[in-house]
Amino acid sequence: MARNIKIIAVGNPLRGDDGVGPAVLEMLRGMELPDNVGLVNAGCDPLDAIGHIMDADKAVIIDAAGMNRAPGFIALLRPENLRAVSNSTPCSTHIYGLAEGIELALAVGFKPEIRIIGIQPENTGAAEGLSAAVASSIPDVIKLVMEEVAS
Amino acid sequence: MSDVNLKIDVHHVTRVEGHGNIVVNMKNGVLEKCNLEIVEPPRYFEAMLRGRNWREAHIITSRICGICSIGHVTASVSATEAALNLKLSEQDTMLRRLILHGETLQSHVLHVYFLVAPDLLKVPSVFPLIPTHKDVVLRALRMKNNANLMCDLLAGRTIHPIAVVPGGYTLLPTREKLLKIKQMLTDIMVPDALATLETLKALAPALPNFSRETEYIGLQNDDEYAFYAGDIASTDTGRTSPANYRKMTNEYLVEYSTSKRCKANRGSLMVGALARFNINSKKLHPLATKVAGELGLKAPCYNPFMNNVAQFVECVHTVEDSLMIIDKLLEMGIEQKPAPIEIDFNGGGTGVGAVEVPRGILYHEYTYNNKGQITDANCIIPTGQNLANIEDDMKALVMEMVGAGKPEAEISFTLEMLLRAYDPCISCSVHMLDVEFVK
Repeated sequence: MARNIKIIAVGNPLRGDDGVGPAVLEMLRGMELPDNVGLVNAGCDPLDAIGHIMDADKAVIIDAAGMNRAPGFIALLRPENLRAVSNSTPCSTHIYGLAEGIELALAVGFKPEIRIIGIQPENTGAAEGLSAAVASSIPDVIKLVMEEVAS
Repeated sequence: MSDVNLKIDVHHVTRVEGHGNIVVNMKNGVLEKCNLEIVEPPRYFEAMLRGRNWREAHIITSRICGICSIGHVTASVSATEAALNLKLSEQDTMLRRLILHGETLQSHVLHVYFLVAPDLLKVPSVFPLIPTHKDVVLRALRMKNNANLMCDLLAGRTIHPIAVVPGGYTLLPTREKLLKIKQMLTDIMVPDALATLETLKALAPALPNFSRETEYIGLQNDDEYAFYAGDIASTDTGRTSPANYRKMTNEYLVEYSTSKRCKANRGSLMVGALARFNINSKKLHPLATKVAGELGLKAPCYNPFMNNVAQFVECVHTVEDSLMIIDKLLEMGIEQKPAPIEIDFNGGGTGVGAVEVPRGILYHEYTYNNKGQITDANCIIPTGQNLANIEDDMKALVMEMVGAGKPEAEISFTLEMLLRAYDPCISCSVHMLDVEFVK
């Protein structure tokens, strides 16, 4: 049986580049994807993302990540990388951030394969739309998502 | 004169949503300062609504909160429906109640298990509990996920629902979806709630024994434990129409806080699960009544820490009520009739939506012109209504603990616990988002 793969976007489109995850997800909705791939917009509640991670075999999470790199920089991260990233630039909107949520799911015994595609934002202030640097990174993000779906 | 001196400054209290500081100064036994400082910038949602049309208001106001977006959408569409005289069918009204129950469940489970339980077990978060209480943490996640699923199936999305619009729904649930929710509630939520009762019986004795009577305000109607519709009821002055909500809130400012505060018939008021319980406990369903009794919650209850117990009692009630609503809907059959796309504005008008959301009563009021555009908007959220009451509780609690000779560290911790007991959503109350995660 094909693996249950979830592509999960986290972020708030009303906070500029924080909306990159949902923006990528919208592009993916218009594309042909295998039947075993589900798309989830977890919005601003990483704990909601965890519910979806828990029943997946593989979760690919797309989120803006403060990495002190140039805007639009893309990193393929594993959960063990995320903790470090989260500690250096906490940008969760809720009590449990994505790093804590993933740690929780792993600690209680769920072992899906987790990949996080982090995109360095330029602006996460109150604004609609993505910066040019982040918007131009989207094709590469989608390519990376497709590679993860296929691998 | 006492020689007690206190200097408590809890900067950015954790396990609450948003930024708040607790500042207490006591000099020679005299309480000089006891403030809950809200330090977030305002968000200007009401101003954003001006000029927007009747189809957009609930989409914008949903973004006030990522936790109770269903509550904001429900209050918003209720205000629009009242202003533009849109009537809901019995079926559509029942669905509104059911969707709100989904949100109440997921929010209360998150609060009781993830934010409050660590306090009662004297640990900083749920993580230290995993090695010893893995089954409890798994149960908490299962309950939250299933409550989210209920919202997904009914409203199209857990957060920022898309199916709920003025006058009804864009998409109505099928019989199959209702059966799926019924099965989930029966097979998962009921047994998990009973297991939670046992957990709480063990934890509840750790809740501080503190009592301060205040004015409790919540929705009330003749038919049910009110969440969706009713009069505004006060334990001081009885019932009044939602149209009079300003008399029950009287917003005012204090210089050390960016959030407005509210009062009605005395210095402060309380909204939320405990207030609702004090007003509506006779209308709880049988299992919820039994659970309240077993956990020692009896109306009137003046202990704000018991708000957490009241939240769990409401979880049980909403599960029971959801099962009853679903059975009735299945019996009636779902009429797949979406909401109107075009409506007659009848010259416009003003309307108030008053809805019970997890943290208390939420008001939205809109005025529409004859083109269906908003000319004025006002939103009063539960945490704003509770702030003055939290501060009054803080003052009474400090004096009581100082009198009992408690050390500063214990007083400081108990004050944080008190703030968390209210489940404040500080971001919503100042209308913000960027959160610094301080441990």
